[in-house]
Amino acid sequence: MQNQTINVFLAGVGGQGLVLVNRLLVRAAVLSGLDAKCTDTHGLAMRGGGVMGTLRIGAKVGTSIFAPGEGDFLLGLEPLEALRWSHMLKKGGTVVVSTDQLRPTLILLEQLPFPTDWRDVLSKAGLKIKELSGAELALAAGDYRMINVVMAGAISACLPLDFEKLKEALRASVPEGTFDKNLTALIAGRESCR
Amino acid sequence: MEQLVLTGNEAVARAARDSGVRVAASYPGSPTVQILEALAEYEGLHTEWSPSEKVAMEVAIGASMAGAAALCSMKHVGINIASDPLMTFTFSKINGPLVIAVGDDPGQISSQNEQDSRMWAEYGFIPMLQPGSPQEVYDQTRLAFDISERFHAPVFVRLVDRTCHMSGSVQTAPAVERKPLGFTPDPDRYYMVPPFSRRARAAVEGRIPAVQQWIEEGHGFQEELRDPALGIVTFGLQYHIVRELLPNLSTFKLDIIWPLPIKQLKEFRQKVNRMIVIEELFPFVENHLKLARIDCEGKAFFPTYGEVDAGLIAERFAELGCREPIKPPLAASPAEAPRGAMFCPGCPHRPVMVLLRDLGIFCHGDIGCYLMGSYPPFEVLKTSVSMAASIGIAQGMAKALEGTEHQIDNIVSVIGDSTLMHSGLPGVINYGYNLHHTKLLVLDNRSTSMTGLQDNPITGKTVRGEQGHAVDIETVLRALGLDNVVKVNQYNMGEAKKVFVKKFQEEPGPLAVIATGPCALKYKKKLNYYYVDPDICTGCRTCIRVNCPPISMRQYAHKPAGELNSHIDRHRCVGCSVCFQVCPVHAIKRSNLNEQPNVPAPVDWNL
Repeated sequence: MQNQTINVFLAGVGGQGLVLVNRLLVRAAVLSGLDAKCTDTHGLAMRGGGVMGTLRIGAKVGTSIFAPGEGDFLLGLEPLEALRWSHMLKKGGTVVVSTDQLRPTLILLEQLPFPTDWRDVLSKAGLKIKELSGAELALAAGDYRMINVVMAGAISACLPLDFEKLKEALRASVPEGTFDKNLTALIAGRESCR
Repeated sequence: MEQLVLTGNEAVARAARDSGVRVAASYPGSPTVQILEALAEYEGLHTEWSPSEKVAMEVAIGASMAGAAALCSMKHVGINIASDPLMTFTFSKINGPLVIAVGDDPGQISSQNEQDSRMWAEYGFIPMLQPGSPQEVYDQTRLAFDISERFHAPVFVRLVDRTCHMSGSVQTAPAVERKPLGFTPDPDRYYMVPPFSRRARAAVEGRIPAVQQWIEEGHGFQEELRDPALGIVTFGLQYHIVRELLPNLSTFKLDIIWPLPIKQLKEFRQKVNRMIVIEELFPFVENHLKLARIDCEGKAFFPTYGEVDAGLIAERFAELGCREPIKPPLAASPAEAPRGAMFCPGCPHRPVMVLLRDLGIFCHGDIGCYLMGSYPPFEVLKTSVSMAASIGIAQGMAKALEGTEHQIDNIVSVIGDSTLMHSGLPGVINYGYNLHHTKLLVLDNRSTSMTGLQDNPITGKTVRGEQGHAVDIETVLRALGLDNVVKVNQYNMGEAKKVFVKKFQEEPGPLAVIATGPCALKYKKKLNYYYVDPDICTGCRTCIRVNCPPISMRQYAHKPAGELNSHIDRHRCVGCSVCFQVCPVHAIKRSNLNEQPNVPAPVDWNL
């Protein structure tokens, strides 16, 4: 796709709040004076199922959709989901991933193994990995459920977003009265990914 | 005029509001749920979750008859339900503009089937538009109201899952006011029986040609000539994908996808050496071009089901030599384990499915979160077709097998509260009327959860949060002829088991059991979490088979390598106690919120 556009693929588990991350980043990009579009899956995948989204940021963005092998960044809210969508990345692409496993049914039932070698698979493909424990940072910021905001902070360190605009977008995206702890979570993720 | 960041669904809502919509009705279904939710945020118009798409369509038709602007939104299968009123009303020369936003789902991202709603457009003499970005959704929805008003016709705005959920910038246009014109009786327009309906049928014949003529005057399409070697005819999402991936190709972009600007398409064909149509699902445009003797290709390259996404378009046009192939470092996804949806922690459907499975009760399923009862490790629900179909299907199957070697005793239809209200009540009437003996299990979780926790006639709360009448399921079932009705709180699994055994395995049908546990997500269940004492746990995996996301088999440091014991992630446990109730050795214990339980943590993987 067009050279200056940045393609981000987002992957996680239903209930983690991936949609909020995507909308937060689009808002921040538009407020930063860029064009941006994003898409998420909804519906049946709401809880526990795999959810994913795409985000494109650039001077002029026609659509949020991009082809496998064209992603610059992959934001994984969970390592198995990061692995699942790693073919969306281009050569030299970067995976920003929270290492906390959320195991799907067939792994919980011990019918399939968890791919504990996910780091090797990604490294061998020449992809860069930036990892952090979203849960640890979210708990430190005061709420386990803020893993998504931690990870939004992490990926924001890789994107041309104005931090003040990102804060403004965060304020518009989270419930009233939770901004301060969400900001702590956002900054924790951002700092760990610099 | 404002600059906003909206989703496709929110853009429909904003455009409807700016078009002076006075009445909007819908039944929740992904991908179009948030249209009505966004509209309900605006003042000065009536918005409602109707009990079904048919009622929503009728409410919108009534508003249109009254000369007001109306919006009706639904997913593609909703049109099946709403088609009865729609396919007759469309013969009318309608009064107030009526726009129907329909969400198709190529690839079945959140649906039980795939349908191409363009068929309804042609079949029903209904013009149709298809946008591909939030801005286009806004602009085309505004245009749809204008077309509806100009041609006195209902108009479709066709969305797909990706457009509904795409966020981006939207520049709004000045709002217009559309005051209701009032209702003037006119049987040729509003009383659809012969002889009036015959005259209406004859009159509607001229509608699509008139719209086509207007389109061919230069509305609703864009021809963009670039390289004349290849011309692409496309619309919606695929137009934008083509522009990104194949910036040099000539394109003919359709905004209005029914009827088609055949005149200009013929001219475009003269200007390019080869023409390819890119469209998802049926070869609708391709077939109409071929009928008009326009030489083109399309489904020779693209499938008639599933999504036509960027990867597929890039691949096909690389094969045609129009671009370089994409060479990703990983050719395909390296993840083997799939991730299907699971019941949430605390879900009231979990204890029900555990009991039905363990008792071996034969069940038909329906449309709602409980459909996950067909997945491992439950595999309780044996069929699912469409909204509320479980009742009639059970009745028919029982009658077909009665007295044969295939007879199934005790067939239970499992249905949620919202689905029962949607279209289950005629099936309930059929128990008594036609002497059926099958059984009903209503999962009354007081929520339409799968589509995003909407209220419904059972809670009586409207989309705007007003309190209307709350339907009492037991009263309704009794009134419709089921005398044997009992309520049970399934979180008390011992009690629920006794009821299930008695009602589903001992007493004759027809009868109904109403399980009353409310949706844990909607009503934010959060009680003391449970934890496992690994020194009591025998590793029997009974708790694993309730399939709760926080429960997993783990390695503890003081246990021999490979000897796994159960563990509960306290951060995700909401304290429903189902695992506690099924544990045969009392290894699962309720926490005291104030102190950390004195048990070791597993060591094999983090959190």
